[in-house]
Amino acid sequence: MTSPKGRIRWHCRRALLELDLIFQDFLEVEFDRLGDEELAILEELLALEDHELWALVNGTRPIPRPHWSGMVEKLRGVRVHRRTRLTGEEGFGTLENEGEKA
Amino acid sequence: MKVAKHTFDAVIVGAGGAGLRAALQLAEAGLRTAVLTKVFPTRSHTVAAQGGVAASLGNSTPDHWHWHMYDTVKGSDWLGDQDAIEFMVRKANEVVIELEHYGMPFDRTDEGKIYQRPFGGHSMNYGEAPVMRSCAAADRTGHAMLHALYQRNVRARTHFFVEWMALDLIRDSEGHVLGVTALELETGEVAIFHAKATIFATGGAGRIYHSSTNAFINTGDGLGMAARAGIPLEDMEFWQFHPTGVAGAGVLITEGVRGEGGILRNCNGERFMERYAPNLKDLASRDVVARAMVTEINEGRGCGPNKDYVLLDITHLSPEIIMKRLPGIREIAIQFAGVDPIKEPIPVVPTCHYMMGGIPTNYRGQVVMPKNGDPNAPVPGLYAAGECACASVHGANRLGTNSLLDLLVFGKASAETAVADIKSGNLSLRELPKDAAEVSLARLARLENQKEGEPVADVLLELQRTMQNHAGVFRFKDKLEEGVQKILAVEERVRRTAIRDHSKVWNTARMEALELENLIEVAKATMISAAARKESRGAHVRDDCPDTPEFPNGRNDKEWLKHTLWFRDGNRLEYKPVNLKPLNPDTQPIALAKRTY
Ligand SMILES: Cc1cc2nc3c(=O)[nH]c(=O)nc-3n(C[C@H](O)[C@H](O)[C@H](O)COP(=O)(O)OP(=O)(O)OC[C@H]3O[C@@H](n4cnc5c(N)ncnc54)[C@H](O)[C@@H]3O)c2cc1C
Repeated sequence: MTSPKGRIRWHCRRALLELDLIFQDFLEVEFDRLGDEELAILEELLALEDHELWALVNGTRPIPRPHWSGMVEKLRGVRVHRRTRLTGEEGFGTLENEGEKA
Repeated sequence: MKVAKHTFDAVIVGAGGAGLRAALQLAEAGLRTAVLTKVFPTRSHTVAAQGGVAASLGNSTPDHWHWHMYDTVKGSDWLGDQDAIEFMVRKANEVVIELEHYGMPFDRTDEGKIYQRPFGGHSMNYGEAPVMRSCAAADRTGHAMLHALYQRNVRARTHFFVEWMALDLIRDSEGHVLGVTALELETGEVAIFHAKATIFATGGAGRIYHSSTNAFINTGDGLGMAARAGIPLEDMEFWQFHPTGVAGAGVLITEGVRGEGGILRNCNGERFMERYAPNLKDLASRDVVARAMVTEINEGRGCGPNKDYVLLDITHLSPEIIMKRLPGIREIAIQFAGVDPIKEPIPVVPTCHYMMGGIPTNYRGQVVMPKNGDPNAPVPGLYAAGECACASVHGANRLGTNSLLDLLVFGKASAETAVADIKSGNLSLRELPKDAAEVSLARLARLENQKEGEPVADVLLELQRTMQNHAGVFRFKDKLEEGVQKILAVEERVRRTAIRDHSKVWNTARMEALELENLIEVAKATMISAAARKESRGAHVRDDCPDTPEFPNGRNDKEWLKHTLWFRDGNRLEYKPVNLKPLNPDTQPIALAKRTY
């Protein structure tokens, strides 16, 4: 069984700003759509140390457990999603209004 | 609402480096010690510190504590108190070696000593040449420090209250501090922590700025609690801006990037630092680089559609060097700037990084405030350490690696003083006032019952924009005065925030609303203190106080060599003298001089 959603949400408060920014977008776009199974995986990731989690998200460390891949992909995607949403363009390269809420 | 009560010898609010170091001292002295923290201890912001901790061990180059003292006083632009600075630099070796014994995995020299690296502002022989003074554990110094301290605390049987948010300080009618009220996230219940000694170690408050290198947790709760309890905040006009935060995100790009050859460019591709600092260029000190960047932007030479950032260029470095010597930088640039720095430069802006001011303390970690003519009378039962405290060792500008040192030295000192005060019977468990939890319960009830009101996020954004636009890197008389009016208007809005989620447990919206009530106290203190200080000193640089022969760098020692004290009540300001006398009569003071590098 997973923890209450509020608890998981609070555990998205991290020691590194890098992760705070990722989770800020994640909470806005993805969180409410997650099912129980996905929430359980998210909790496993949230139990990691910050540097470890950030290395998984930025791809400098391989994902040690196959069943984490989907969730890590989601976390990786949120910043790209934000840029696309704000600029109407695909991919990287524009910064207008970026970080309005950061 | 029923309010439970927990009783301890000492309660510490905060489990970062300062809180854990203090807790260890108390628990190992056999005192019943509670530590309250909003997040799991090893998720405190100290984890983010990479550069290292300063100590004049002299393992890699010759060094002396008096050289370190000189660098720190000069860095502080002479606003630091020399007794506290002497105390800190002389204790440095002891606290670093203690950490080594606790199992901290420091980098090593070939002979097995702690390896030390150079860092901006630290010098040999009173400014002659760079010195190697920073002790680091790879790029994980803060992380390693917290883990070593946490394990040691578990062994010493410190009681941890994890995911508890302290709400308010409890003081009796005579001004004695008796503990805090706190909210447990898991249950939504409020409890009183009744103690002989209370230590604040709640960290920084960098989230008052729109662009900040600080994680979201840095909301200045300790400062808010102190201010609401009638305790002044010291030197709040002084905030350090790091030159290279990723534009729009704030994430820190370390100085190491410029050390490896990174170059700052304006919209014309010009290496503009050559004009501002012909010798050191891009490696000049933090405040010099930050101001040069803002000047470029203000004069229309910024980059991007809004011309509001400059570029940090490492495209001339080989990809191998970038990957090997600057690990992590590429990933940060890709995620937060949307550029691959091997191919494209990184958009950067000066970004709020560190709070020099805070809750006033003396070098023994006691919180002090004016009373009966004594500007530094201890507040009985209250201590503070780490970034939330102002000892004052950083004065108007902090040197890199001196903050981790500060939290070790004053974390330990505050607890040693508390242990002595408890064991001597100086402090006892005083009777709680009947209404001890009243203020906190009223704050919660207000939020619960507020029907129409603004969302917390909207008011927070306005607060952050106001601070960014009116009390940023460069300060202007009119902007500051306007800023005071604006931040007071934001305060009115803070009083009327409403939350939609009224659930009792794990209510993060409620937490954020309560945090905003702390941020606004920090913001007011900053804006009002900055508007009043009519000189330039360290990180506080005013356009109307330029460099003149009479006032070198715009600094006016005749009128402004003094600490600001902001009181919440009526936004009153008082001032107190800077201590220019070292602790020991034999120690040579660092005489006033112009700060040049
Ligand atoms: C990116 C970055 C890099 C840095 N690098 C260096 C460096 O290399 N060297 C250096 O010397 N300095 C560095 N600094 C500065 C230094 O890291 C901080 O000043 C220092 O870590 C602060 O430690 P602290 O113990 O005071 O607070 P923190 O580590 O921030 O801990 C605060 C604690 O208080 C708790 N807390 C806060 N409010 C409440 C509340 N209301 N109730 C309960 N608990 C509460 C939190 O949960 C947390 O446990 C860096 C800062 C940043 C942002």
